Amino acid sequence: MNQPSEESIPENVRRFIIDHINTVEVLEILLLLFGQPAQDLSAAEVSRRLYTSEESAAGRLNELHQTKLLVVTPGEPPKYRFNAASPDSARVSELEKIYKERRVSVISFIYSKPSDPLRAFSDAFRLRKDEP
Amino acid sequence: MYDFISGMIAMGYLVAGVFFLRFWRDTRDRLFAMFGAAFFILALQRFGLEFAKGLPEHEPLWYFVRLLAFVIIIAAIVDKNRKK
Amino acid sequence: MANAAYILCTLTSIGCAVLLLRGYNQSGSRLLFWSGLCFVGLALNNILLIVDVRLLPEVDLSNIRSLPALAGLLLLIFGLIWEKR
Repeated sequence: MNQPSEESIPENVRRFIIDHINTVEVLEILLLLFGQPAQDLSAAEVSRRLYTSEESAAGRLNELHQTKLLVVTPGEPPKYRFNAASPDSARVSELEKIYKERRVSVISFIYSKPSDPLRAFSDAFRLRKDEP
Repeated sequence: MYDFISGMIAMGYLVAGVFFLRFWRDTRDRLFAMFGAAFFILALQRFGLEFAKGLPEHEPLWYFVRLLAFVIIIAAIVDKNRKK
Repeated sequence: MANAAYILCTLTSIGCAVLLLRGYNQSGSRLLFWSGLCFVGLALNNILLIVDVRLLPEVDLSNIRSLPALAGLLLLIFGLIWEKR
């Protein structure tokens, strides 16, 4: 499962993806807000921009807020902004650059990591990674 | 000193074995059941060595018990890699 | 015969350590880190057992050879309890 293209993602960005990014949707939402640091966006606005459902956007925005990547302005509806004080800013910036250059590698890396530790343990004993 | 360390190790194997059994309960993945069994057998081996102190000729037997545990682990890996 | 048994135990421990640490490298799942280290400890335990029984029979390495196993198990149990599942 370790395709050559994945090796080209730097270790710290890979670690960031493993820790924070489970789906492409999360990645796109994060990068959308990262790219517009001055603007507060609500779930509705995000869902319009990215063609995703509003509930889904709201859920992901909340998750990103829980991990301190976004700051929230509470209200009705709550609005989110990228947390400029986040210690991960540099890595998000690097991730943005790499996603532009090597979109397929990033996407395939996101989906190649098992999020469940038990699954990961079990999969570690697969000697040939092309099996399901 | 050796007895103390050996006792801690036996307990360690037991606790790990229980965790593996729990993982098997949660995932129904046979690999965890087999790892659990292996770790329980490793704990058993430590118990056995303790009782074999009075019968030193039995000691090698208990090292084959350890082998059994590792054979089970090998079997778990082989089982995981067989085409279903 | 017993030699074959000791060697098999050693190789299996090493194999598991390698697979788990490789899995940790690929997936980042910390459970694999702790379990990988545990099998490193078991591998060392098995290697030192061979050294104790076959290579240096006049020296008693009972305590020394048990320490890596103990360390490995302590790390494993820590990881099993501490990490999220």
